Amino acid sequence: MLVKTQIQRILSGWAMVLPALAFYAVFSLYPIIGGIALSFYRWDGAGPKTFVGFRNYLYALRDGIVSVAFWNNTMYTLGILLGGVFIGLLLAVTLTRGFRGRNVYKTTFFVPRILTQVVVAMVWGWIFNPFFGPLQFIGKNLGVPLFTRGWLGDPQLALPALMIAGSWTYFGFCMVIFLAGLANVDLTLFDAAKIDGANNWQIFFFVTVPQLRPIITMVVLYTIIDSFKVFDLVYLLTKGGPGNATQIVSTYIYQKAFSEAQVGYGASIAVILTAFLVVLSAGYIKIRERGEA
Amino acid sequence: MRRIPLFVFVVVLCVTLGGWGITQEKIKITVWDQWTTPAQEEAINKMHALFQKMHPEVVIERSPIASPEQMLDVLKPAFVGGTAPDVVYTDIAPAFIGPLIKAGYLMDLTDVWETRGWNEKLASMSRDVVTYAGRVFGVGHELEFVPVFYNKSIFAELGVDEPTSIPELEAICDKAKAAGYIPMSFVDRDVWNAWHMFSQIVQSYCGKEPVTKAIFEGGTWKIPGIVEAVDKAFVEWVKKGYFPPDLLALSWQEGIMLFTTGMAAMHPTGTWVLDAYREQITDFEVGMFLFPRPSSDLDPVVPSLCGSGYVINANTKYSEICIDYVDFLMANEEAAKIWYTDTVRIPPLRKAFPELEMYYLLKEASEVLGREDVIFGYQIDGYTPPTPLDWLSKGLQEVMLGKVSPADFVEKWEELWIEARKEGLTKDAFKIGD
Repeated sequence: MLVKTQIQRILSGWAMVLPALAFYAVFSLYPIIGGIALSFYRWDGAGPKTFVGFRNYLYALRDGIVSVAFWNNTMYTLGILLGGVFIGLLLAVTLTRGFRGRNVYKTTFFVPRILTQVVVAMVWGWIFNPFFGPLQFIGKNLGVPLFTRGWLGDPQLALPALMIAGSWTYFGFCMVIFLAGLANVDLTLFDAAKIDGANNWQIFFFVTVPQLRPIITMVVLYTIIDSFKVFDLVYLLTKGGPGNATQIVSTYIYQKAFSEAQVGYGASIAVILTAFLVVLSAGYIKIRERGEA
Repeated sequence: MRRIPLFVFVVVLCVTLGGWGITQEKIKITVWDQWTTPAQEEAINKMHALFQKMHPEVVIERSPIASPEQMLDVLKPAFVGGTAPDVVYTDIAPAFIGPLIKAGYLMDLTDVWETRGWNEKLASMSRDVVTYAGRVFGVGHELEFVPVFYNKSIFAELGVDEPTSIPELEAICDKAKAAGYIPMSFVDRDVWNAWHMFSQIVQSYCGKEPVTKAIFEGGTWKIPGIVEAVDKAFVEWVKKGYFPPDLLALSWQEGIMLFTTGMAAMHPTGTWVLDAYREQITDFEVGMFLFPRPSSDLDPVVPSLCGSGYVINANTKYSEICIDYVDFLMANEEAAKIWYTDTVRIPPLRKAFPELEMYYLLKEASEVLGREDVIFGYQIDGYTPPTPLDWLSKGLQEVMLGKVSPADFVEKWEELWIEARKEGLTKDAFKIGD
């Protein structure tokens, strides 16, 4: 009787898990395994596949543009951490103070997040236009030559331009997450800090930030993963150019797999990116945990 | 009361079965194309209506796809997955349809060209661009070439005429620049504008013959004059300010805008720009000249190509209907007239329509295509395999940025072509079923 009940419990457990498991297997596991398998083949996307072992990986390690793409991606991620996460945090802290019109600001800051990347690219493509854009207009009238340059066509400025556009779509999202986190912080600590004579920056760095640590960890991790996967904004604004100045891993994967019909090679770079992100994320979590212990 | 629901049931059943009976006789062909602007959609619908008058049994289910790149993204998975449409209108360069031909997904139309009389009716360019390993896999459409368009008012103001040599062109650029105009609206954020400038300048300096050899006869790209040509357009002219400052920051549309707003004196681009001119230019007249050679004694070589073309799925159930459809769009006079007037495009049908009301620049362009004294060269990108094509995009940008020398650019260009040739991806080494 006991055995029968146990079997029933196990079966009912599996019955409940099975639909989700099947869904996961079909839509996540199978494509992942398929992608990994593809990286061991040479394939133009239409004809027969040829098994090449680790040749794609060896080629990727020697491919200078892969390292350029990883470097650009790292820079882009740092830019988003600064322009998106840090500014989002500052705004969240500012908005927790009671002043009129807070909700208007919250909504305004969040709006870029709900825009599609195509619209974002159109907006920033226009802002950076060296003939018709508002940035050059401001630059000319204020006498700031930097603003009058064609940012998207300048190898030194194109990546910063993308960081600005990317951060603009992102800080509102971070702000909302931090606002939710700030709703749960212990307010008495702020009062205590004030009584101890701490200024606003000291309160921010030594009271607010430590209390938001788990949320900051989550947001930073999410940002790293998201920034390394960015594609649409970069593709729409610069296509990885000029030259390879804004080539990032996703645009390079796309270029190889789709434009150059080297699907296997593109898949191998995608696998390398995934492995890199797994290691990076695990390392980051480990470091944070050690810091908290 | 019970009879009413029964009556309704019978009526619904009759309508359903009747409808089923009607639709069962219809043949549905699926078409993916790139006609996405309202004018183009209207034109293609007009042509479909005419076709369906001739073939009332055919229903055409059409899906427009916005750009050649997007078409490339969806076509291969569709063919591999068995969900590809019956007919596709796509870019027909090796980088686009090469893998599909190799894998046997596209119908071999070599015999159809003969039986339908396309060899006589249609321009040879329309066949040549879709010929791979001696077999024809489609019908090239949109006969295009790359001239230099110019603002007649600015030319009159500067007191200059159409140039017949590179030094004359440079003199005009100097005058235009001194007068505060952008001499040539050549921009390259989208990376593909440089392909056409490359085709112009290389054939200007090197002529057609060595380029023909490099593309079709296993020849080298280390052609005498090619390094000088790349240096002239992509280094010297950039430095001299003949192109807009920050040209790599400007998109194709923005390049058009510089010309249509009267900021630029000339616009070196292809005839595919004409529908934009028709819509945007109202206050000045536009002229065109063929990109000159270094000396006025030499005849211009005009880069030309079919912009895209119709191909048929080798596994379609309705091959004859699909051929009829393509035949109608490409070889029917009524359809040709619609292409001219409504889409501002030159169809491959050889017949001229002198009485037809069309945009004046299109008329001029179609007259140029009919001239026997003009040497039509190649839009080199249209014959370039994927990896060298990528170098053409990125490499030329690097040359303009001063990061790669013209000599190094040509060296790598040659190297990548040799690799592509070894892999059977170039026109001269293409293998089917490889």
